[in-house]
Amino acid sequence: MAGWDWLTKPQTPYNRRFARNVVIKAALLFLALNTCYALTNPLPVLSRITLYNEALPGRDRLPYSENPASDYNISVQRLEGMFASIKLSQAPKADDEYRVFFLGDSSVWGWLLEEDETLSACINRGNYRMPDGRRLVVYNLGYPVTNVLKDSMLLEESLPYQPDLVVWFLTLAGFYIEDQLKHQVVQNNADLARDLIERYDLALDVNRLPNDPNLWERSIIGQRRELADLLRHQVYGVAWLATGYDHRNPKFHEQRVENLLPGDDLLGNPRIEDGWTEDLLSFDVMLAGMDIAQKHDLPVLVINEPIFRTSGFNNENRYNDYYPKWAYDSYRELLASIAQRENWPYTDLWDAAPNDQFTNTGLHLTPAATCEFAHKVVPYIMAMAE
Amino acid sequence: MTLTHILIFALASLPFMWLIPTRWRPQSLLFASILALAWLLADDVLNHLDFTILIGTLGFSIAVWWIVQPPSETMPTRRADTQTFLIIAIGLVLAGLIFAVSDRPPNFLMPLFGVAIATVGVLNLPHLLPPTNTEIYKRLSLLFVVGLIVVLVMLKIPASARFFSLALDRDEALHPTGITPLAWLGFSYIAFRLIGVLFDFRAGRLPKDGMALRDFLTYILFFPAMTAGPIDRVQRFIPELNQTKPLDSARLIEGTMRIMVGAFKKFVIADSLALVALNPTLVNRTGDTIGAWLLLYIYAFRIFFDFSGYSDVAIGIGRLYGITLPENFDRPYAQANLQQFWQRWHITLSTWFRLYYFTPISRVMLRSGVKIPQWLMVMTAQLSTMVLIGLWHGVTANFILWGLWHGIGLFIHKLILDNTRVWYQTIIQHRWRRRFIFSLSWLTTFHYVALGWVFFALPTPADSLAMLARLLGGR
Repeated sequence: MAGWDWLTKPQTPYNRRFARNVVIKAALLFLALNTCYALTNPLPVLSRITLYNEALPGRDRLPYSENPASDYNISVQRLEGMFASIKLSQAPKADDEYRVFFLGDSSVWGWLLEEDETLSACINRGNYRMPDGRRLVVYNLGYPVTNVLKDSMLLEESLPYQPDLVVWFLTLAGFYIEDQLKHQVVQNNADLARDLIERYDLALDVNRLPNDPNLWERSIIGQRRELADLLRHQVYGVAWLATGYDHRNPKFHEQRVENLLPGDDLLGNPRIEDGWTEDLLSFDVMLAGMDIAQKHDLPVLVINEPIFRTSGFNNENRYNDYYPKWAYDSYRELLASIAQRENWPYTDLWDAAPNDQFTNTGLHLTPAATCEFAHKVVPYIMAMAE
Repeated sequence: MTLTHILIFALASLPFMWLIPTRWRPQSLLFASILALAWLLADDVLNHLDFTILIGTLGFSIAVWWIVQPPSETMPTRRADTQTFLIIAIGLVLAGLIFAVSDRPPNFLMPLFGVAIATVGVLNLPHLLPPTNTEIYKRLSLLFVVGLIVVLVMLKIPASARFFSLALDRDEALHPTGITPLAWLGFSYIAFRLIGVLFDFRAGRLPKDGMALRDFLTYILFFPAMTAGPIDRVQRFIPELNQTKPLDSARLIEGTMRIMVGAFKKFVIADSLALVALNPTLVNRTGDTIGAWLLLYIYAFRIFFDFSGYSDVAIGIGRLYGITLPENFDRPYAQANLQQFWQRWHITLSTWFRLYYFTPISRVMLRSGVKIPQWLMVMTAQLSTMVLIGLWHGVTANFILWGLWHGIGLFIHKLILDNTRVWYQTIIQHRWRRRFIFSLSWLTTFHYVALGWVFFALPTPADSLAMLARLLGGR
């Protein structure tokens, strides 16, 4: 068949020597390519090479997915790749743009929300102007799940994109020390995490981070998963282009828990009688993040985000299934006092959302309540520019 | 077939071809096919049914072989056939041992029972029916054709496939996410090979001196072509089986390269495109016309690379085992009319239908004595052939619509061809006009085929119409 003539009708007939040479050359080429790749460690650079913002439109929020096949999205492992695929990387900052980055967890990213229903999308739709006449443009740098180390790493990575302000949405769960190093962004960017921890001497055990990869792990074979994910991320961009979907939003989902189990434990741990102290939570990580911003003259507005307050069973002891009252109240007091001590712009909006507007957890809001909350945040942003 | 299957099949060809003497290869290939089929089935079918289906496949094949044999005096010797049953028995028992896992202990009873029944049955068949009464065998062959079609239809109708799955699956609790539809691995291909042989038998096209059971079963079960074809013809396969080419450097390189190209097409290109190719969920999410066309183009290339990639792998593995399987795809999307497309897309399937349905039905209409206009005859033959090809993929309304779409397209092409033949002869003298006409024809053909995939890719006519509306600018 004509289509296979190149294979079946070679110019010089195949013989044993030819076959042997092919095998040897292929093996050598394979070895050389893998060695070169391992020695140069090009993954961070490769992660920046993307079709997004070129052949494909940039994404509205950082790529994250628990179910790529139905989200047309994938959790890219490297921070460089995450930033390269969002609209932020598209064009240089305009002169009349007041650029704000929203940092936080899944409630900022927009869990169970379309990409045009998130906090940032609602504000951008409002076409706000700053007191000096600049357009208020918000970029969504939220990323599931709650974790201040991940937020600090994102903040540092975002600095080259010239933000005028960062709004950092926080909640108690983001400060648990034992969870800081477990986050996938931290694990997959262990080099950046290690650098941050060592630079600020944070109270986190760097030995719990993945070791520096050995030569094999740095080879093409060793990094095949990361490389495949980068390619899949580009392919899913086509579906993103065709549908505008980046997160499956099911019609039916599990509802927030109204009636709570007895007791006032925190994730199985007993009550701390005197409440939290600064060393029991990862406030040092947050301080590091704030210091990074400060060194770049970047103002940061700190907001304690809304939570669900149940009126169901055991509401006298707990706000929701995440938080017993003692833990959350003590966290709020501590955050307020640290903010006052450090002179941070701080706003506590913990009860700013109606209770019936929380969806599947005590943090996620309906599209309407998200927008309502977003517009409540705008005056605080305006105040930062005055 | 997964990459692991392909790798093992390819690597196993080296000791197979280098260590086994040529005269033992046909037996060894049957033995290997039984083991390979058991392995492929072990991953696919419902609990406890892997051996049932394997024995069912063997049973159907042996029965068809028995029907199509010439009268007994020219039949292969019983010794050779007894040897074949021994190969089957050892193969099945070994498969039971190799593919046993903790939740599926070695199953010897079923294989041995199947082998015993088949052995006793076949060796005594000449006593049951007079071997020289060919009329009985011809009637039986027709009965088997009907039987195979009934089973095929039952497996192809989603509702009945589910019904059988529920009826047969004795460990429903093991399927927490629901019942998997019963998948009789490769039955579409097995059934078509068997039906082809039965038609050839009725038309007197089979070898006069018969076929050894061993060779016939190897033709039916040849493992590289089990999951996605191609559908070879027995008259071509068996002579090649008995004169397998040695695995020299040329065959080794050709086979390996073909497998690598096929695996790349299937597992890299097609599987990547599958992530974003047209599917029922995407139809509902696609908002605009450009997006809809993009998904359709991706689907068109996804299905080509998937199917032709599998065919390349099958042909490559076949080549390593000394068998040259027929080609199945030859640049179908580069063709300038629908007829040429169907001569180059799934070639062995369209050849099968042309040989066993289109030509006979056209001949019947011509010789019927009833005065039917020629255009009506052509239309009837083309529409019915394409609808049957659609139904071969699955008995659903959408596959019928897909078949009709192509049948109508082929008929329109025939009308255009008949009415523009003279005009075209004048056009082809001019290079640029010829090129322009070719480009226009190619573009039209490709888009006609691509639009047809809307029916193929989506499950219901409503989904397809919604997609077509979007492609034409609707919301």
